[in-house]
Amino acid sequence: MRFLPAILANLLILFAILGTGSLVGPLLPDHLPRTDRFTAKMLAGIGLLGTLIFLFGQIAFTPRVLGALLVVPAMAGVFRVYRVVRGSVDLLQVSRPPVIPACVIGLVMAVTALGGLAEPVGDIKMDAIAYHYLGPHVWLRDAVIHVLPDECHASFPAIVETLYGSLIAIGGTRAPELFAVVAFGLLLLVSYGFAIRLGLDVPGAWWATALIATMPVVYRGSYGGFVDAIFSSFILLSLRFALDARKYTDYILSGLFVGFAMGTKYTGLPALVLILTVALVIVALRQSASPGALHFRLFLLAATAILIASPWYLRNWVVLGSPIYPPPPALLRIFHIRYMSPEAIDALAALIRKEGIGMGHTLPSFLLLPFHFTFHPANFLNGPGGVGITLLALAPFGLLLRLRDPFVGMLFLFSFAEVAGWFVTEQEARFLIHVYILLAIFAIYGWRYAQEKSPRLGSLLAGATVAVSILYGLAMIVPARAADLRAVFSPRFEEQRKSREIPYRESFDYLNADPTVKKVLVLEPRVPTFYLNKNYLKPIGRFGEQTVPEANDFAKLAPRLTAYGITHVLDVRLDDETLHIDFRVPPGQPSLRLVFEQPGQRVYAVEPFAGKDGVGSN
Amino acid sequence: MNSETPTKNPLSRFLRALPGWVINLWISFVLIAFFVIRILGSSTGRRILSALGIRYGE
Repeated sequence: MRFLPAILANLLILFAILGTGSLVGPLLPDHLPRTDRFTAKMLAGIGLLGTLIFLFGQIAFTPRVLGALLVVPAMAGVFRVYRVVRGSVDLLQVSRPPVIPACVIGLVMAVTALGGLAEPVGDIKMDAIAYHYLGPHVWLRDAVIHVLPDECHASFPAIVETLYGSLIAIGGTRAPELFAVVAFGLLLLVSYGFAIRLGLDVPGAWWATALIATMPVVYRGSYGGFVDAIFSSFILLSLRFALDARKYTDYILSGLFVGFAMGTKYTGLPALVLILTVALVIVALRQSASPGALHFRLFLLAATAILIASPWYLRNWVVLGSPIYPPPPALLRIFHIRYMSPEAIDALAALIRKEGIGMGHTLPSFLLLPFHFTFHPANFLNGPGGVGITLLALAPFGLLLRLRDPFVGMLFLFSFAEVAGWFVTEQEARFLIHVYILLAIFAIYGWRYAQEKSPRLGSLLAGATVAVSILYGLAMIVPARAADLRAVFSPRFEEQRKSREIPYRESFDYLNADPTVKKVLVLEPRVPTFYLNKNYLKPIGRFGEQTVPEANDFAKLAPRLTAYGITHVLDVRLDDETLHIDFRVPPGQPSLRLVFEQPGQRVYAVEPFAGKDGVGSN
Repeated sequence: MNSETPTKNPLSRFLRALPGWVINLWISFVLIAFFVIRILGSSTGRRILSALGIRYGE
């Protein structure tokens, strides 16, 4: 029973996505295979619904508004499914899949579905806890979508996070974890469709999909709040529509999907430029349009993308002072932002450079990147487990074999530019999921090529490479979800895990349960406020965000507590491998009364301040 | 599967001319390197290397 709300919430969102996505049905090319039509509609549904909820959420983000936004499209989705079932349509055209890849994909999907039923736990180092789920949690509490001044990452474009908010509202905090099934499943469907488009037969496409499903880096970007699976699906669809475009509507579709990508992650912005470039080059190669018509088509693509993504960037510009927030330091010359000082922006940029250094930014490192990424993936951010060995062992042959095709040539150009941009900026393994997918498809071509060239030894070696990649991937993925799986089957273990992995849990329980707690002052930036169900004020955020003028000086802040509506103060001592920070409230603070104490945690009730500056003394 | 007709295209010609043993050598290299690095990177591997006075991956 504890899982039922999460399952029902996901079913409702699933049908709502399908119903909303059906709106783009008339735009889809007639020749598009049924699998790809379904996938495109589903992803369009995610993009449209996420954007729509964001727009309405500016006014109200309540269960009633969400119900109104979700129920009608969900009914349309149910109707579509009913028609498909009644017509006995083989929706995915997968009646006879090859056994081994189907079992591999089935196993990973089963682990994702079961593991997705676990409640999210962890400290603020986990992106899901720090901002992917924090934003939706706070929006729901405040009944409106707004920026979180203390967490700059919550101001990223958030198509997927608005859906997380809807899921949390209906199904609790387990629900967004379970949404990984939809995200990962759609990524695999996009990959399968792309493999077929690139000319692989059905078994080949299944093997490519199995390789992708067992890439630990791809999997890492698909669960636990990460939005990379959805992002890469948007990019691949946009790329495909742009490169196969024949009609104006194809360019609109490409713009639509890259616009959704821009509404999901900032990395969608450079992707738009690259997709425009490859769309231009392929038309020039095919000589399929006059210069005037070409300009108009590219304009359509860009205008659609910008229009679709504009709500996120306009909101940030109006509310925070910059369309990209937090901005890269160079943008500070143009935009004057709120809540973050230039020093904080510089420090954040330095942190990103440091964390994303991978194995260096030099030319030799770039040339050795395929080797580094295959053999030392853990040196890259979120890289542990890597992408297997087929991309290095087999994909080069497949790519060379197919490079003559302009479509493949443009995929190579796009991927090369993406990798180069990634290499010089932030080497975060999750950011290139769409590139790994393309390479996995070429790896299957490479496998076939090795079989043709050396039927005995080549077949054996290439087959062993595929087997090692899949088995190693499974050996990384399944244990990574072991704690989630155990938590699902053992409520006792789940409770123990929450006590162990939720920092300051006792204080959160106290604050959440006490009805006199109205607004909490959280002094330590690294306290994960996702677990706090009450309104809160964090004067300083993780990256130096300053939400109030007195943020840096508790002596100045203390007399203002009642003015800010603070009823309680959460003070903690941070003591881990890297940080040792003592309590921030000085002993004997006159306006604060200690009401709860546990090792490393103190909760104070705010009493009227007797000092001359205090509002409470008025 | 859509095979490109390997005629005048230099890439296709190159791949057609590439001997099977070169492909096998390359795949073997990747496979062996993967296993060697996995073994060396494991705790047992590190202990063995450390006993031999070799510092790897530090």
